[in-house]
Amino acid sequence: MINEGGDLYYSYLRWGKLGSKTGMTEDGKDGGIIRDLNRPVYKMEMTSKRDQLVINQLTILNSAARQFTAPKRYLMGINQSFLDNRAAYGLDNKQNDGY
Amino acid sequence: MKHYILNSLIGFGVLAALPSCMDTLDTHPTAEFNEETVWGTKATADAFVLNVYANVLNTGYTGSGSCISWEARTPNCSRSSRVGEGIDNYANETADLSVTPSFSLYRKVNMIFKHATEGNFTDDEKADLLANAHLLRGMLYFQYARMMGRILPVDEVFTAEDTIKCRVSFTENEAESYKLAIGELEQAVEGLPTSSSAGLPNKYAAEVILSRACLQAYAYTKDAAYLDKAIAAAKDVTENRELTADYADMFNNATSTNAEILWAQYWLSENTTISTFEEMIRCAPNIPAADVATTQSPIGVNENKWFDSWGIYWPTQDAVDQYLVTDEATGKAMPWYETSQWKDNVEELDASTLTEVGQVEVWDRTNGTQNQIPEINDFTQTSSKAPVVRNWYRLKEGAAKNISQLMYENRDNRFAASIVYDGCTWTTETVETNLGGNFSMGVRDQRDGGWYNTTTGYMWRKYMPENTPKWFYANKTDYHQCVARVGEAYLNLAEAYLLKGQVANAVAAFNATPRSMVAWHPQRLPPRLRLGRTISASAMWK
Repeated sequence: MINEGGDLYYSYLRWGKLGSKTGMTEDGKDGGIIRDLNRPVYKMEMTSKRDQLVINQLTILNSAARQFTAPKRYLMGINQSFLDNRAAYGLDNKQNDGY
Repeated sequence: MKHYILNSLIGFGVLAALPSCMDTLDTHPTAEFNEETVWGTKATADAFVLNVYANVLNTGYTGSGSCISWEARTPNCSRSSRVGEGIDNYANETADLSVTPSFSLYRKVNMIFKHATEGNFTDDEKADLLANAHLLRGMLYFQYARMMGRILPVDEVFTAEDTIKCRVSFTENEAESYKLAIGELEQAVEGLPTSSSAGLPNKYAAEVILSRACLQAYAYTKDAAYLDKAIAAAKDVTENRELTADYADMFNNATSTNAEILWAQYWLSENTTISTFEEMIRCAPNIPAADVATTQSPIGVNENKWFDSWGIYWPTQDAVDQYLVTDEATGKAMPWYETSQWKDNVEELDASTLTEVGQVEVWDRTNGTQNQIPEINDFTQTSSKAPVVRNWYRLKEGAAKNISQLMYENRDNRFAASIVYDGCTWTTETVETNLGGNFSMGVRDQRDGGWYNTTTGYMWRKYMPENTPKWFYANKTDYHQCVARVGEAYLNLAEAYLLKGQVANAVAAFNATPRSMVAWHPQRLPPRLRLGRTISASAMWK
């Protein structure tokens, strides 16, 4: 669902986890790199007379360098200060992979 | 963005549902209440629950004021501006996101359980409070589970003496997290009523969230039992509630109580401005009449700075591609570039030969600057993961329509409800995003997102209220965002069936509705599913 509170982002994560069924991952495997989150996006430029159309990468400010690292991006990190505090009290404090 | 008790209380319908607590709110400070007051009546307890709903929704459902940032992490949207706010750094992994579990929020939820059980409520009142508490806890667990995998399941109210009990451990893994979340959501479904005032959840809203959680749980645990749970929950919604034929009303009418909306969060103009939500202030452009004149735009603007916002989030061509167009020859829905009207009137040129700034067109502005196609930014910081120029098209001689008409006409109606495009009307203005147009890239000197104008050729219309006064940050407006709606139940149902290999049921789930499979929510369907309602079982997941 477009522009509805992150529905699509979490859906991509879900489909990536099921890459062998959905075909959403670059290697076709479950939990692989999600193709659509690992590529640039496109804009459109149309001439003043509306007789030509160019569709090209959106590049400004390194925006074309979108990437998705697996398995890291399938979860977010847990605030490290929060975990450090838990460690100080002898509580479990394992960080997620890649963070 | 502050979501205090009063904000919730003045939500539509909620106001009518809670008349007896208003005296308390009129005569006491609104910042804090003692426990006796809060849990003394069902009405004040409900006010507490509403406040906690706002808090829980704010963790990543609706109302955080920056939900649009999640869209910018998908191909649908770009966050791009050079005026202090640049690209989304999570999308290109130059920054991480981390989550801090909120113990204060856990405590608020657990307070509801405690006082519902111990307080002086009738059995019905107690059951209602507990059902809402289960939904709140389930939503909180689910949100934390999908963000950080392992969660801290805090399920009681601690006191200062509970120094041992409060040493809560993380769950072992996602399987344990989702088991807890879904258990809570299931209890919420059991206890919530089938109807509710606008602004309050009901059984069907909880079922949509439950089916959403079950799909995510299946993906992260591979426990097929979650697919059956997703189907049961979603099916109950589709069998009892209906889709709307007026898609735009659900999002672009600020006060919509459209029947498809099962649960929405509402804000009134008394304490809501354009700047309260990035979905408004960061999605509308900034269009001064003087700049439009300097650009020599063929069409001016009806009112200077009617759009006076700080837009940085723009829908992409990738998003626009998802909305199918009806082929004028066959009547079939298909991508715009595959229709017969497009192919008959447009030729594709060799994109690899497009290598020079201004090679296609140069547009002069009165201040001596120029806008070009391509522009300088098109050849810098490009990615090798995909073509730099994806397509270059030119009208054929004698074409009956222009590029814009051929590209945007005959689209699924949801396109016009969601995206502002070249040639459309937007509130008081006729929008032109072609080179030199009044809403185009570069109408304010910079084509690169400087000065809060589109960098993609498009702007958002979805969640931009049509009846909003001038788009100035301080202007007040009503607003709402959907938490759960019937359309998602159909999508979740179809996805669960598909994952079970029951393709016929998946297709039937779509075909049983007034909208065809390809005609709604295309972005929510994996590509294999978007191909059309007649696709074979093997092709679906091939």
